[in-house]
Amino acid sequence: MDVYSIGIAIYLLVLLAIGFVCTRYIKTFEDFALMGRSVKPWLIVATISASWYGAGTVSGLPSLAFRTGLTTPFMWLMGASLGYFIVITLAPRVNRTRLTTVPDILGARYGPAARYLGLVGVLGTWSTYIGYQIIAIGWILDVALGIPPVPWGFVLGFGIVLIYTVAGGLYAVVWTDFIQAMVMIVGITLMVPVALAKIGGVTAATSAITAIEPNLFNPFGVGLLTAIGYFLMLFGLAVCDPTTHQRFLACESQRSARKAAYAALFMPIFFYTLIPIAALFARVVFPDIPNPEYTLLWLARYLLPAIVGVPLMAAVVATVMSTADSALNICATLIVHDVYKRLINPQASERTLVLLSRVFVVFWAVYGLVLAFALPGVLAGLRIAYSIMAGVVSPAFLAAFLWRKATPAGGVASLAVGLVTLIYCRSQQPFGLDPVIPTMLLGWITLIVVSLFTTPATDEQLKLFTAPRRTISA
Amino acid sequence: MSSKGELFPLWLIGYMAIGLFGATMLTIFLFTAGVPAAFLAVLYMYGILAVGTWQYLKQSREGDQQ
Repeated sequence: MDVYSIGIAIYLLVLLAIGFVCTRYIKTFEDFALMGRSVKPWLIVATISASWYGAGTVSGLPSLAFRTGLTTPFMWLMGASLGYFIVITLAPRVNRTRLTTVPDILGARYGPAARYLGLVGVLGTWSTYIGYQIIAIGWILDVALGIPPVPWGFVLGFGIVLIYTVAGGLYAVVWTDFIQAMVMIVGITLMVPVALAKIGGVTAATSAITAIEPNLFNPFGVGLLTAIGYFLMLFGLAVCDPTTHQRFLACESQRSARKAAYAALFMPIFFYTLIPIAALFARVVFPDIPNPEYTLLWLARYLLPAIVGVPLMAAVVATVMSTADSALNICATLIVHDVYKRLINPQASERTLVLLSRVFVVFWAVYGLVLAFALPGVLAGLRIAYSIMAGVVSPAFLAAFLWRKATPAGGVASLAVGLVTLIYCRSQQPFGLDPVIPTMLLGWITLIVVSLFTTPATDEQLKLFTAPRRTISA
Repeated sequence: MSSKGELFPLWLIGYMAIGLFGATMLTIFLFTAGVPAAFLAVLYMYGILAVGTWQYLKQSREGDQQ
């Protein structure tokens, strides 16, 4: 065993221990899903960061920067940060509704049909997340330990994520996410200057990158529609990301939720600048990386000294695992809360709900493992997942809070048209467009047109969503 | 009115420093490479940091007055 094996193994064992210890505190379903609504804002920001920045950030994003330069990563930054601005507006309103999930919100605003269409969208997104997080763990185990990703890397990653998520629920997720966020920040912070020193300074690095491929610094090198597609995916995902909203629901007060949102705004600037820069350094040092999705891992393993490389590799494992366990938690919560409790057994005891949550964590983990074998890579999975949330769910979700005239029929029609459009565009690729562009566009058009000609929402449906801000209590 | 310590708790300063570090690294990199749109990118990043901080302060004051 080398230092990478030992370092990563110790790290994962610590995570498992934390998850195991935290099970002592879980007594009710709210404990499992929302940590008893008692989380401080600084902890919320860390856990949002750890769960938001997963395989897409450490594998998909570097592969894009490695192949196409800085434009697409900057679109990620713009989309995510502008989305966060909207989240800042929405966070206290979402918290005030006291609704647990995104389908809950859609259902309260637009009726039961919207709830279940939203459920399909959110489950489609998050179950795909699980699949490509497992792929990324496979890549990590390959680069770090030489374990072939198919089948053993995927199976091992699946097992580790499953054990500690089942053991701890969000108590484990929140605290392990916090630790993982700190490790990730330290690892990436160390990575860039150390890599830069190895290459010979900023001037040497930029000269070498330009010599390899001059287009890497061309802002329009990737094409306008591709850039817009990534912007819309990140924007739409950020505004209605269920993990983020669930974390805000876990805040001790609405004021805490809003402060957490402001602080979370600074995080994408850190991750979406330093990781693409590192990926371009990798283009200089390792132009023949076998898979561009290995870029960040390759830097950690083969460029950096072990004293930096081991913590960074652990950070990459951490961020992927945290997103995987958040995804499992979200999918399990949705099925238990929105399907079982609402439709099958409204009188279910807390004990039953916690037990079922754990059963469904296992179910979705197995589904994710199957998906990992079916998907071609992280980026392909990411594009599917982000397109569903951004294209299908985000128009109805945003309008629920921001447009009083959005009607129940408009919300339902928008979700339905979005789903159909996305399925059609993914199979046919009309005009070579990224599917998220026509999906989101048609979703908004449908929402507006149908809302203008149908019965307005009732006061009962609107009251949770439109109270003035000044009435919010601290 | 809150004390300065309450307006700028240590955890917030930490998160701001992290964002500032990323923005500064990209700024150096873009200008060294002579990227044509560097100015706009830099303006955007620091704009986000500034607006985020300003809104945080505004929210803190509103919260204190309630």
